[in-house]
Amino acid sequence: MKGTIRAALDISSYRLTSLTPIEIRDSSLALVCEIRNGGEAQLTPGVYQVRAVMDDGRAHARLVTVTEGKETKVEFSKVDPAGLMTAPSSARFTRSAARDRDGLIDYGDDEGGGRAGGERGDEAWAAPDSDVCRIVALEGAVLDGAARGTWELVPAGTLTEVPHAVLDLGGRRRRVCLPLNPCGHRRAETACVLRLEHYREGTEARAWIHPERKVSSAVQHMLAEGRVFHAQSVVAGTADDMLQAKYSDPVGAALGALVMYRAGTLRDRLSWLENLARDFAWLPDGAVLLGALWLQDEATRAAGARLLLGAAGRRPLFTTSYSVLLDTLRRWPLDDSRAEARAALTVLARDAGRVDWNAFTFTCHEEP
Amino acid sequence: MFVLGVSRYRHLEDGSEPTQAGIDSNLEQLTSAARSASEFAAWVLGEYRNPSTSLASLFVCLAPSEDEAVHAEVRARLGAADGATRSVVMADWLEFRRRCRAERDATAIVYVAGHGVQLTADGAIVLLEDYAGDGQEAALWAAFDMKGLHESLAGSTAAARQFWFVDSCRQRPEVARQFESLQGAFGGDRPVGEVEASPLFLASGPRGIAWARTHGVSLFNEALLRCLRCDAAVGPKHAGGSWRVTTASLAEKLRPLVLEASGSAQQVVQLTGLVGTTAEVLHVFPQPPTAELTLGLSPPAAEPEARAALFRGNTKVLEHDAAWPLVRKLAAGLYRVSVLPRAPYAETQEIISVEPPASRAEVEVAS
Repeated sequence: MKGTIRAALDISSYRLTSLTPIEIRDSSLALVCEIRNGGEAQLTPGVYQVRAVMDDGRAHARLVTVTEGKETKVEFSKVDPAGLMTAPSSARFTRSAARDRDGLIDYGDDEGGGRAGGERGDEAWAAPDSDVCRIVALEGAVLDGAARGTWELVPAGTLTEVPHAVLDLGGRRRRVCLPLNPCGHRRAETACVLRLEHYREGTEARAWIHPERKVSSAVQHMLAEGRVFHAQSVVAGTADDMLQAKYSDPVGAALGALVMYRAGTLRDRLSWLENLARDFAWLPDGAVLLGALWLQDEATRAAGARLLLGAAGRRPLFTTSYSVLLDTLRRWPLDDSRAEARAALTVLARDAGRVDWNAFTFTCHEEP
Repeated sequence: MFVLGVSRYRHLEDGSEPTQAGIDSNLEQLTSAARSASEFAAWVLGEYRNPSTSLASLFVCLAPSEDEAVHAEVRARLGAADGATRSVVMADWLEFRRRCRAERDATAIVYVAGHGVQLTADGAIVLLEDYAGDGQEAALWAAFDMKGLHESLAGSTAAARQFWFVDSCRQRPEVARQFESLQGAFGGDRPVGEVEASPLFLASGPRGIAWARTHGVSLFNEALLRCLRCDAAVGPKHAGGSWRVTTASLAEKLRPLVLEASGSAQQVVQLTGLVGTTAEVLHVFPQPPTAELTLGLSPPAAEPEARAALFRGNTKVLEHDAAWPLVRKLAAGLYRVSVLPRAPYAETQEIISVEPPASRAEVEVAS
């Protein structure tokens, strides 16, 4: 006679929950079966490991004993560190929450919330006691909340380029592109989080999709944790929503496109990629990926070249898009536009030495 | 498999035949690239195992610097075939490429180490032994464009599964700028069609520096071999199956290992290329890997005279009546641990997981 394991995930997105596989492994850690949220598995009595990668990109595991004729319940919650299998990818850093005592940024909405973007004096958005980080300018974004080492931003006005923040990090300037969604309806659907993260060689600011944009945020976290196949499976499972619904979240669609580009499956979605490239001029990532794909095909090569040369004058949102663009310009296959590609490369490559290649969104060191 | 390691650069200022271009490059001889490549080749020869794609060929080109200790077995097999000039490497590469393009069922593995320049997150230039020689038609004539080579192994007839590891020492921006146009670096043509998966692991980010142990191997090589030998092992896909190293497990484990080893240098491994849609298997272990278990007891007051036994299924595999914590190497898997402490503490049983490379657990006993 067998016993039962029933597993549940505490993830607030129904789509993500239904897409997250829950693995059950036996005493030799061999995979016995995969179930989904609320599902059950009938198993021979014994000890088992039950594990899942949550929407924060981290793997959680529970060890359970299955007893004949009995049901064993397993629940996963990302706020419960007990079952966490790995440290945050941050052998490299401790996130800002662990540095509360620093009080790096500590100001309320009244100090900066709701102000329009633009170059400001250093005193404008800095905590009075902060000597580490200040936002000195915002383009296409406004501040909508702040806590220690974390800012929440929302879009401002009609975007003509990727929104970004210019920060002063202890005297060093950083321009950080922001994954804002101007097409969202509710505040959380539009927002992003700018967070100070502490690396061994210093503090950096990183931009994250707001956690309330659940699918895109989960994909970004999974990629940051090196779980590329989990990210792929989420994108594949939500492609119709995440990608086709580009008019409600073009940034999420561009992120999905990047994942599919690396997986080699983006060609299956060329029509929506064309829409993304055409209808969101402020977000050149779609044009970069479409151009790179078109360039590989004789029939579409000329159109791909035009797209890429057009995109070369704008900074993409994601570092990977910038890398793809730079690389494609270097290996330009068309003789008749080689000079244009070289000129575009020269301009674009000026940033290359100052790009923070470890940042997910395009982040550039700038002269103060 | 194709393995290239270049430490010796004859035309640099400290080389055997310096040229003005070599002097102007501000580069020096390396001390670990050839050794690192030889260690990878030795792993291939002695430990690589994949029943679905056994080792069919191994091309090795090494140019060690003076006093650099390359792996003895690899050295012996190479015999007098020493060197990594463009002509030597090209001959091997073109033959390797010919075979890869004709064998869809094969797995291609490429490991390259040497002076290099990484200009984006997608590729790198690796300089060959005769880089900067007089009379060469382009500045990068004796260099490999790794992204170009990677793309040249695409195509609908090429080895469907590929793994690429590029361990090149990145250069300072002023040096890197010389190579912005990639002019002359060999890449090759891009065939029509795609392979299934061809992930490319780059030892560090663009413009970053890949570090090495003094008189040892590179940190990337050290971490990669740790992953292949144990750290990136994942449990079988089904009961009775074998432990494996896959694209997914490498993607998760390699980066933190190099990061940890590089300390404040913060060397960040990049994964690029065509990752594919399934986690391809690179290496299969003949038996479950072992992992070091450190088992503690809480509260510490319960430690004196506390005994423990570990069971795998119903089989007792270990008895412990010595000092705590218990530290032991065990085959990976789940164990039931039974702790019998002295009164007033009560006997306690727990399940623990022992997974490579090491696991820590603590049994809490109640009084």
